[in-house]
Amino acid sequence: MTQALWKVFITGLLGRRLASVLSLLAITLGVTLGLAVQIIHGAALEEFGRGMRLLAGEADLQVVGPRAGFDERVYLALAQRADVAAASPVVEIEARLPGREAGLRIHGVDLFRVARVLPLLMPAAEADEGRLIALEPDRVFLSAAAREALALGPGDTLGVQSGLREATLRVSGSVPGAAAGQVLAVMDIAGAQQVFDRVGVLTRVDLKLVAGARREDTMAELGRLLPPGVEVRLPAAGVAETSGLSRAYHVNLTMLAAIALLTGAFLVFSTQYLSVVRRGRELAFLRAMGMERHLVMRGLLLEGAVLGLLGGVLGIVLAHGLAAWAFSLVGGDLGAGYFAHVTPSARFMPGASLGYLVLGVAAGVAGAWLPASQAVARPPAQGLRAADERELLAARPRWGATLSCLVLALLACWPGPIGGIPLFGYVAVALVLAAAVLSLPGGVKWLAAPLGLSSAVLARLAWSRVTAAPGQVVVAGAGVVASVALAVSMAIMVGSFRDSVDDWLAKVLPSDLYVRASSSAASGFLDEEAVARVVATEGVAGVVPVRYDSLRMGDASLPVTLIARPTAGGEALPVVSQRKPSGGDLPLVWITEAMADLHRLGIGDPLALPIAGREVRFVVAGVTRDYARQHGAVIIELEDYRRLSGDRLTNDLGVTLLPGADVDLVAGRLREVLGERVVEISLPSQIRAISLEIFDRTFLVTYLMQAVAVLIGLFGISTTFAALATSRRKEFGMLRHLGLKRREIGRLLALEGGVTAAVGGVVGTVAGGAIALVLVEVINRQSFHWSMDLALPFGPILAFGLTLVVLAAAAARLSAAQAMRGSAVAAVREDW
Amino acid sequence: MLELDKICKRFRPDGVALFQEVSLTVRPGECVAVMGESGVGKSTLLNCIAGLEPIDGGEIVLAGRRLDGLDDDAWAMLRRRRYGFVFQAFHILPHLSLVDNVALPLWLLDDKRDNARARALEMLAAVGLSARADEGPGKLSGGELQRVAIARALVHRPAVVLADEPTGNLDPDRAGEVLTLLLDAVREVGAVGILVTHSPVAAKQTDRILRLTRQGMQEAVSE
Amino acid sequence: MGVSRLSIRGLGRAVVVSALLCLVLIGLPAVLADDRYPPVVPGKALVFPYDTGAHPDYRTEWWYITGWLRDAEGVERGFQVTFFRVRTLLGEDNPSRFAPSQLIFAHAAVADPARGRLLHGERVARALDPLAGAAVGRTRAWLDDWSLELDEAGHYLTEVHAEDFAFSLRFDPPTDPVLNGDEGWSQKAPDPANASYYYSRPQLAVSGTLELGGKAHTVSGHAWLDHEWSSEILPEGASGWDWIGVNLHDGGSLMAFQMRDHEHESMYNAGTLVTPGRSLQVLRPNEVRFEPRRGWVSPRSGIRYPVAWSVEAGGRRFEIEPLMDDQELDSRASTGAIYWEGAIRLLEDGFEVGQGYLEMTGYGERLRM
Repeated sequence: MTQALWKVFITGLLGRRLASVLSLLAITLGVTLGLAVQIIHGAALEEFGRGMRLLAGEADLQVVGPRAGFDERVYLALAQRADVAAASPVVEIEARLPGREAGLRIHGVDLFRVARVLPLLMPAAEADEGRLIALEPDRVFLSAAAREALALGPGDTLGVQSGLREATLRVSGSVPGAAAGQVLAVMDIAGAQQVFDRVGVLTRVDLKLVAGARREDTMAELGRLLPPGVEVRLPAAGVAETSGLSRAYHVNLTMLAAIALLTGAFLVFSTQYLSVVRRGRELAFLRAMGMERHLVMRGLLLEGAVLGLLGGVLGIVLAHGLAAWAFSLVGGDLGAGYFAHVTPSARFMPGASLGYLVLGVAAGVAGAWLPASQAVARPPAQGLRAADERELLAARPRWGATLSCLVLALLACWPGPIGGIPLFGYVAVALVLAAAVLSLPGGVKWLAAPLGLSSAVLARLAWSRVTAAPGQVVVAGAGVVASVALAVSMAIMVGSFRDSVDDWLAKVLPSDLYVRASSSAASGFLDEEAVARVVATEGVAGVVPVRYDSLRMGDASLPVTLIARPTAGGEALPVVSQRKPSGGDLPLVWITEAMADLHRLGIGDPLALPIAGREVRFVVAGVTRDYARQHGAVIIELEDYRRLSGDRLTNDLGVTLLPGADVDLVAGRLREVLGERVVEISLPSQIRAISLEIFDRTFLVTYLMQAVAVLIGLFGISTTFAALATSRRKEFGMLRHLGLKRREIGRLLALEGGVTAAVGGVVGTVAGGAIALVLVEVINRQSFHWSMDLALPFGPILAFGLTLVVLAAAAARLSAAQAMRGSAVAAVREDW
Repeated sequence: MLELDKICKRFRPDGVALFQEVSLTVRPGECVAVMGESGVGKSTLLNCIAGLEPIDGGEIVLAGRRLDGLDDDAWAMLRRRRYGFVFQAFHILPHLSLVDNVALPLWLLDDKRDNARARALEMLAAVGLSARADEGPGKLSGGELQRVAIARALVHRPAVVLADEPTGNLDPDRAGEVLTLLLDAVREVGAVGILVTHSPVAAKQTDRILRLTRQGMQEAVSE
Repeated sequence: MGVSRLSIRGLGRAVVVSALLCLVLIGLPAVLADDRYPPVVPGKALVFPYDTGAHPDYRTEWWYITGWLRDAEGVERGFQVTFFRVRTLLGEDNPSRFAPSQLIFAHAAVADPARGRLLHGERVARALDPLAGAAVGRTRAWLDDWSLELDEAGHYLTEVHAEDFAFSLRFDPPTDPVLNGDEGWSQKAPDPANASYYYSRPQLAVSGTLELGGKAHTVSGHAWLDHEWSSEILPEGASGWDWIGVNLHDGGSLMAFQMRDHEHESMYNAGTLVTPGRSLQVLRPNEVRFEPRRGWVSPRSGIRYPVAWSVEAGGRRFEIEPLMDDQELDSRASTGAIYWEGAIRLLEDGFEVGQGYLEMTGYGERLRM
């Protein structure tokens, strides 16, 4: 029987090569995309995790605090504890390198302490260097990756910036323990503190506990003893923090891949369905000859499985290639900026590959399931009769099921995320898609109605075809619906997002000029004297200083950004909602939407912030929008911050000009006053342009996936029409006899294809709109915790729809070419 | 008047003649039957007459106009206006109603929608199926399907009606009925009717019986 | 004089913690004659107990205790503990608490004949109160849980917790400090610039516990403390030295050393001999002579050490016999140093007249200056 299965079924695939290859390619695309995302993200995360583990070394615990650091006396207390075998103090600096685009993470370590906890960070001096160099304050040791990235060798000097000051470090050796791809530098802790004006503070202490000490006990005890804002965590938590940040992004991409795979399954469904339709008599004959029902079923499923398997294998190969390509092009986070300091490389991932192979086969089998079960459900006698395919293509409207799916989708929008992942949101998306496909048979009649009004013969023929056989539209259009829904929803979501980001940028960038020494995470800053110099510059009317820090609030939570700036009672902030808090003289804090979500805070709630090692009570005055910090941010009045912390430095300085002052002229003066190499002066328009460019780069991958999804949808139309054209050769032959020209038959097919695409496009667009709502209101809200104003990019969607219809028409026309090529005579006489 | 003058058709690969020196003249309103052994090229002859296959020699003249040498599109336009076909396998489009199937040639001629429908209904009435005009072809018997086909073949008053084994798929009772209907209709519109058949019974109902051989076309001796 | 670490040869590329210190120590001669270090000159009166404390202005300083321990079963073992202080001249202008201007290094070893070789441990850190440091005014040097201090009652106390052993010992000095050289100014080489301030505390009575192999032993014995600080010790052209510090059974003590050149010839010798009832004898270069009697080749390093000696000092002739031959300290893998430092018996006319320590450096490689 195996031979029969092989001969009858598998070789059948060869008989319809084009359709088989196309559905195989669809599965390939789904597997490629999904697996590539997995590989890229997995490799980046693994590399990042490796870096984090390197930086955890043999540490049992890590004590971390705000980005600005914490009092180094914490280290002294920790080092003296009986349960601590070794403590290693670290001050990490994101050094800005004047004249260079990239920064450099410098680990200031105590060489004598780091060895027992983090031996991999030990620097190695060049042999011909002096002997005390590792302790000299201006010596820096670069990992191999850092040397390569900065193109520096031993003996070279490296300019680093602290505040507005530029210091020169000497490259004196390497960090042999750093893994390949880890861009980092090591220097003496005292030198780092001195060079970067961080005397008195540390950013991390790594602890190794004595044998027999329980980590949990020590953690609990330290949790009580450490000053506010300083936390003890397991080294793995550092990895988790990053993976948590990027996970939502990853899941969203994976979901797109899943939809691509689903579209692939639809396509297998299409080809298998049509193949079963065409082979109705053949199958009935086999049944009549005594082949069991389950064997026929198995054979048909096997066909789907073979397509899935081949597509999956091809997909795995392509995915690895795509991942390698993506790494070289946009980096490990697909341009999203989550994994700085990491240069991962694509590696073969056996587990994920196997998983996606299984998914590919599953898509093939799932696509073959319905056609197969329908085929075996037909009594053989009926199949043997000269029934036409119309019978199988006469899909009934399924409004009930459509409605049920929609209601379920609506319900799925209510539950919250599970483990930070908006699972129910994705369920809602799947349900909307299902509803869209289910609405096709009923929707075709309405949507194709305008065609029926035409008196042109081709229009009439096409109309009668699609209305009499809506199954054709379902089969050909399901892939289009899925891909259009995906593309439209992403377009709406990304468009809304972009508009909202643009608005937000306009709101947060009210000044005429912005001055900063470096990004807020890096080593540049402006001190009071520098700010005074800016104020004194000719043409400057006023300044708005902003200070950033990152705070740790409560165990296991991600660091929260602290923004201290003039708030004007909230007037100066992109407030979403705000209320004058009643009574009390507590200082006010505005929180971002992410903060409100993650920490379950509302207006009027008290909020204690660890500032300069002390808990300070604030009251929440409002919620603001913030697209830059998905882990949350709090905004407090600069004067409050300065009073509480004594920190009078500035990261970003907004500069307002006197009326009539020339922006470029003032910018030039400021560069002169502050030092060209150590200061970045930007116009709001530039910042906006750069931000939006970064935004677009982040969504580059989604654009790419949209394009591919649409391509898959077009494959659907193409395969369906190729298959149908074959089974309709007689019809076309007859029409030729009646005097239809070859190209008129081509036009007829193009028309049908266009109508199919139009119907699929309209249904898909409506579904896409619904999915966009789910994306904006549920999935983004739950993944990234930010709201956005819905914007419908009508123009692009319309243009996209029209393009799709044209392309579909062309695809139908092209794929049916063979039907027109054949002799009309032969077709009419084909009478099996 | 349809005139064939010494037309010749060769097998494509080796150039061996399928038939040659075939000459035939049929007057309007006249129906002729073409008989012959299987494989002698009866259907091919019809195709050549309809321009669906090119001929390799000779002339085809319809109403004084030479047709051989027309290009594909010209043939298509010609078939659209002047030809009607009846096939052994009926070829009624499953997704069109009966009336639409019949009206199809009129659609092709850009007839007004209502005119086309009225004319098609007329034709359906003529073949006795007006009651089921708006049904699909799904439930029709073979004989009924062929009547629809006949209505479709004649709805635009063609000059030539070509029928290839029109009764081949019908039982003898139905066959006679349908053939009578066809021939009467051809005569009524004054078309040239050419019927390819194996059936002597069917052939007898025509005005002339011709026998096609490799060497040409001979007038069969009427029994 | 316990400056074995000075003999460590320079390291290769891999910088390991302790090696770094070794580099610090050996690196010092490379920046010789830095006038930021005070010169060591004769005529400076040492004041006690103030001078038992640290002298952070000087380049190097150490407190070096060696001795013999006897447990309740009568088993004899040697031990050694040293605290170093080094002024690096680095970061003295750096307000950072971590500024590496002063480094502290601690080293300890136990010679157990039952094991046949030395156990040792070491620590290094920058001076950073309260984790590590060397106090001024009275002996107190500490590094994490290792410490050495002189308490108010005049007892030295030490705590050492190494990987393989630990000890907690008290030392009671029966006598005043013995000033070596010219009232504590100890010349090391023909050039008087190579000198140190140097006093010894011989005949320290030891009591305390020694943990070895997971077992705690109550121990007693006698020990010897050297405290020495200098800015410039190693002379040009020196390859190493041999040094002994011996508690004589008669209550006296003998310290003697010879500085060797690259041909293993003596460059400079000196010593101090204390005999009860007699005034202290400062031994001039011509009053001290070291003559090797028996060599021992280390099976690990292949280095040949003269483990038995004849020593002429102050007119007396002694013989040195080691507690065990294998007291080589091979820490090339970690500190890069390899030398011999061990417990010895001092014989005179075939009879044991004292017990102490011998240190021999510079036999493995030439000293790298």
